[in-house]
Amino acid sequence: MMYALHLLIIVSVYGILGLSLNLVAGCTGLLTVAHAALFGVGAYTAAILTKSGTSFPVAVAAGICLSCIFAVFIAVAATRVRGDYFVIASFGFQMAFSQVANNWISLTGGPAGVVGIPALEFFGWRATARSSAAVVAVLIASVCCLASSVISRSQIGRVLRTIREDEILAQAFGHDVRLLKIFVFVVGAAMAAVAGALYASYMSFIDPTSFSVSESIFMLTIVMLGGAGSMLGSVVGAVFLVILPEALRFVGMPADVAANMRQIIYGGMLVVLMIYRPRGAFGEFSFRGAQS
Amino acid sequence: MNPLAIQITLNSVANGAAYALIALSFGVIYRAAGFLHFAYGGVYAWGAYALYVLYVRLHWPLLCGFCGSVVIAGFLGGLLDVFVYRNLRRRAASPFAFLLASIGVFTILQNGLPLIFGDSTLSLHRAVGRDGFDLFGARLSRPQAAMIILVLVLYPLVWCIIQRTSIGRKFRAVEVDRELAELSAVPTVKVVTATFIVGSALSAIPAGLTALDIDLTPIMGFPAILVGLVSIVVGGTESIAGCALSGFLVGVLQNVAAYLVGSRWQNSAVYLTLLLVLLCRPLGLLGRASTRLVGQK
Repeated sequence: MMYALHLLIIVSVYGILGLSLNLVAGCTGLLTVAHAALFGVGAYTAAILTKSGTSFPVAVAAGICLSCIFAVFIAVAATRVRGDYFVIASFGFQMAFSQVANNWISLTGGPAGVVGIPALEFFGWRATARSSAAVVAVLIASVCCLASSVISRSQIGRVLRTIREDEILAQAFGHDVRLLKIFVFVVGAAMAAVAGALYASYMSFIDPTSFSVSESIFMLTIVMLGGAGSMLGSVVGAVFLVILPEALRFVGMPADVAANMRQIIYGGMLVVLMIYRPRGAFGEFSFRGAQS
Repeated sequence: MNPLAIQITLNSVANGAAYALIALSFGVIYRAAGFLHFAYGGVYAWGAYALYVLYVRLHWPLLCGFCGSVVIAGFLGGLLDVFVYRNLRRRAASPFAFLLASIGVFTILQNGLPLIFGDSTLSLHRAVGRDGFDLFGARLSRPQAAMIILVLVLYPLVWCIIQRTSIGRKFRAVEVDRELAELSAVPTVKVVTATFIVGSALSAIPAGLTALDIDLTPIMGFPAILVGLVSIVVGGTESIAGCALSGFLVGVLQNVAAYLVGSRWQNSAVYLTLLLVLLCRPLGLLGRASTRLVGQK
């Protein structure tokens, strides 16, 4: 039961990440490999602040702010360069974050990470039991789900899809593409930061490996498996990809081998998906036949 | 000049030479394939480990092992093209699909290495020994010297092949416009596969030399990708000179940054420069408008 609750929390965290990346990459077509960095900014800020005695809601808010500021930089890059060059830029941002997390030891603890992060706490109520943490996680995930559904169905969501399909067309209709790209990145970053805070406070320990470029790729796999642009897809992708590797544990594979096998499975899925079903399970956009 | 300055210059040039070779092989593949071949980092690391297996485990002579690793890397690159990218091309996949598939392949290759060799760092030091050459009071190790010589040999060679031979002409045709090349009876599929083979084989050279000079880790492909990406951003993809420039630029940046702010931050300096160039001069330092950048919607 405890194990199931643990999985539920992890699925919620990655569900939020999948949903937020889906807004950016799936709906708007901005293929970023820096999402784990946004997740990490939220997690580190929340971890460091709550450890130094700040209350959880304030720490989360600070994490959201910092993550959004970071996202604005990435979004500005997205307005200046496109295609491959944006992928390179986001890769640069992701690696820059990883470098700071690994090397600014006095702040982030370096490769050893931050330990002893306090559990979730809302105005005196502490979610020390795993069940209450799970309830909070699912609640937050539902709120994120609602938010992304509102955005995706609104007028703005339609314009975002237009940007994905044809940016010049969106401009021709008089939409401020720059502002919209920044907006979608900021929303994505805010959600990722919440996921980060949730993750840090639940795990009570974070280190740079949870926010590496491999994690960014994992999040992209979640979105691509579920299908770009589909919210249901992102949630199903998160559930599937978090629970699937747990099977390796039951096969009796040693932990370090299992970690590598997990990555190999994700990589393999990405390849197979791109060849046989680029649309993903429930996707509306195939990343196919772009006129480039 | 004081010895420290000479040593930094020498290290910059030697590292720059290795990076220039990486940039050359990455750039050649990018020019023909037209997408970011992230799996390059995986092929690079596998090339280095192939050298390790041939030399340490199978006791081949060093030079034979080196040639063997070049062949293995080329073969691996060809396999990737035939089994992954050709399938994508047949289905008219978008550049993003290529990119994601390539990232997937990279993940597989990178995580495959620890399964076979373990996570720990492997060393090839005893193959070349610690001694090197003494230049004006600074030390140049043998692999470093080999890198510099190979840059001087391979750059003109590749330039000649691309500019002066019929194969090179076909390669350029595929680079500029694949459909038009296809219509003009250029065997585009073969040209792309051949480029993957040659580019991947070339990648084993800096990989092997870096392995001899420093050591081997499963994640050694990451720096290679970084250099490849920088070369695309900085040098522009059309020119061979751009590849060399970007390679040496990274070499200088890393060594100067290591001296000024400590070796922990030397890669950060590269990323920072990469981002600054991308944001301030999106057309690359050489400043020519690339059709790939402007033309992409």
